[in-house]
Amino acid sequence: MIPPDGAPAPPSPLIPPLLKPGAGGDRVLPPLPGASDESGGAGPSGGSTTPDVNGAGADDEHFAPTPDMGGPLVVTSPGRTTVATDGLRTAIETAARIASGLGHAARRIHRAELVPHAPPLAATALAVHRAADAAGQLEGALREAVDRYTDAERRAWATFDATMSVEGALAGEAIGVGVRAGAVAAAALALLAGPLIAAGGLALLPSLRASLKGGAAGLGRFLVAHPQLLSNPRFVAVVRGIADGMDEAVGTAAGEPVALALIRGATGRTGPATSARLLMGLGPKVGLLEESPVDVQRVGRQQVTSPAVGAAERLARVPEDDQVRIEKYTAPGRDPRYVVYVAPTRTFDPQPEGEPFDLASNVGGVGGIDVGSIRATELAMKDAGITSSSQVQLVGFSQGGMVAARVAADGGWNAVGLQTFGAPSGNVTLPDGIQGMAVRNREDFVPALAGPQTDHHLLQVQRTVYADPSQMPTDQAAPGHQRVAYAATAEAIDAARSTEVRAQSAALDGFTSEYAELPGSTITAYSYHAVRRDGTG
Amino acid sequence: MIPPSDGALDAAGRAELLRLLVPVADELHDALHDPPTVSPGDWLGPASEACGRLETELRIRLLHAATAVDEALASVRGLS
Repeated sequence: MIPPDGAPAPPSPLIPPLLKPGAGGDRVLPPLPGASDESGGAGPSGGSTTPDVNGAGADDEHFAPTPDMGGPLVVTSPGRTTVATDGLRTAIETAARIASGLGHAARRIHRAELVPHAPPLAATALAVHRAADAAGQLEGALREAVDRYTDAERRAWATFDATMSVEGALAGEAIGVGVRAGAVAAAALALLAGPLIAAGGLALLPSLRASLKGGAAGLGRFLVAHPQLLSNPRFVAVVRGIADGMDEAVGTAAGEPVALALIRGATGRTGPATSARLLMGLGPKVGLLEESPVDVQRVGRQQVTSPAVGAAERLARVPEDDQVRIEKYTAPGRDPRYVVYVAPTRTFDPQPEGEPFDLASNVGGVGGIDVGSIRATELAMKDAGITSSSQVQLVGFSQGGMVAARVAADGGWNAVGLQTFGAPSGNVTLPDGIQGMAVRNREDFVPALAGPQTDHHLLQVQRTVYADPSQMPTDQAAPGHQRVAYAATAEAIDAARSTEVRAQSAALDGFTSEYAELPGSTITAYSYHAVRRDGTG
Repeated sequence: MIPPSDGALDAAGRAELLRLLVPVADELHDALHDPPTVSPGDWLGPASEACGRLETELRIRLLHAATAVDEALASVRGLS
C-alpha cells in the first residue's frame, strides 16, 4: 500500500512498518455452522436485505434529520477542483441543453421558410434565436460564477492551510512546554483552544479548562454538552488544518525549532499520514494504539433477492454488529462480482480490547498502515472468494469508508466502484477510472482528520445536514457524523438532478443490477466478524 | 400575428411545415416547463443578481418564442 502523502515513510524508529495481511499472524477461522457455502443452511432472506442494526433504530429516529432540513449538495468532479452545487450544475446543464436545442429549432424554421407559400417566419426565427442567445448567456454567467467561487475557495484554503501550519508549529511548541512542565491539561487546552475559538466557543474556554481537570472523561462530557461546537463547519475546517499541520506541532512539541518545522512542512513531504504514523509509533510506548493480529470468521450467509439501489440503500447495508458484509453476485457464464460493505468504528478506546475497528485502526489507517480493520476486511474478501481479478465495489461508513478507500487504492484488488460516507480518506490516492463518490457532511469533523482533500479521482459530495443549527440534536457529540445524518444526505443524493451525480449513482447501481437482471443470477450475502486475537473480544 | 402567406399552401407543404415546426414548439414548451433555476441555497456570490436577471430574461424570451411559434403553427393549420 502506498503511503497516502506520496512520500516514503521517514526512517524513524517511531514509525511502524506497513504490515501486510497475514504478516502479523492473522487467521481466518472456519465458518460458523450454516455460514459455509457447503452447508446449504441459509435460505432466502425473504426480500429483506437490510441489516436490522444500522444506526437508525427507534432511539435515533426521533432525532433523524430529513433531507429538506439540509443544504444543497456541493459537488466536485473527479479530476477537477471545480466546486458547485447540484442545483447549479443542473441549471448549467439545462441552460446548455436549451441553447443547443433552440439552435437546432432555429435551423428548422429557416428550412420551413423555404417551403413554397409558407407564411413569413422571419420574426418567429428571430424570437427563437433570441431565446437561444439568452439561454447561452445564462449558461456562461453560471459557469463564470462557479469558476469565481472555486477560485475564491481555493485561495481561501491556501491561505488557511499556510496559517494553520504556523499555528500548528506554535501550538506544538506551547504543548511541548506544557507537557515538559507536567501540565498535561494545559497542553490539551492549547491543542483544543484553536478549534473551539474558531467555532465560536471563546466564552466556553473556562468551562473547557475545568472539564480537562477530569481527564479524558471530563473532555468527553464537555464535548457532549456542546455538540454545536464539534459540528460547526469552522471547527471542522480547523480540525482539517490541525491534521495537516500536526506533524509540525509534534515536531515543535518535541523541541524542534518552529522555523525548521515550517521548512519541513513546506517541502510537502509531510502531512496527516506522517502525523498518524508518528502517533502509531509513540502510542504503544505508553500502552495506547497497539496493533495486534486479527481473527476473522464467517458468521452468516443468506440469499438476497435484490441489490441495493441508490446511496441510501447502500448505506443501510453497511453492517454494525459484524464488521464486514460481502455480497456475491453470480450470473451464468460470467465471473462473479462482489460488493464489500465495511462497518464504522466500534470503539474509540485507545487501548484495544479485542475490537479491530478501533481507534488504533482509525489513526493507523490515516497513516497508511495496514491496520487490523483493513487486514480483517481483506481476509474476509479472500475468504469470500474474491481474487485480484474479481470486480469489486466497496462501500463504507466512517472508518469503514477509510478501509474501503485503502482497499480500493491497493493494487492487489480490482476495485471498480467506491462509495464512502464520512470517511477520513481524503489523503488516499485512488486508482484512475474508479466510479462512485465520497460523501461528507459539512458538520462532520471525522473526514477532516485526514487533512485536506488531496485525491481527485472520485466525485466529492458535501452537504450541510442542519441548515438551521437550532435543529441539531443536543444529546450527541457529533450529530453530523451519525448514520442518520448520512442517511438524510444519501436521500438527497438519490434525488440529485445533475448529470455528474446521477451518472456516478447509476454506475454504482448498474454494477449489481446488470447481473441481478440476468436469468439464473444469484446474490449471496456473507457476514464476517473479526477480533484482535490478543484482546478480550 | 403572422402575415398571410403569398399563396395557397398545398397539403404536402403544410405537412412539411408541421413536421418542421411542431418539434420547435415542443422544445420551447419543454424549456418553459423546466427552465434553468437557481435556488437561494445555490451559492452564486456577487454573480447572484446578474444570474437572476439573465434567468428572468430567458423566461421572457422563451415565452415570446413559444408564442411566435404557436402563432406560426396556427397560421399553417389555418391555411388550405
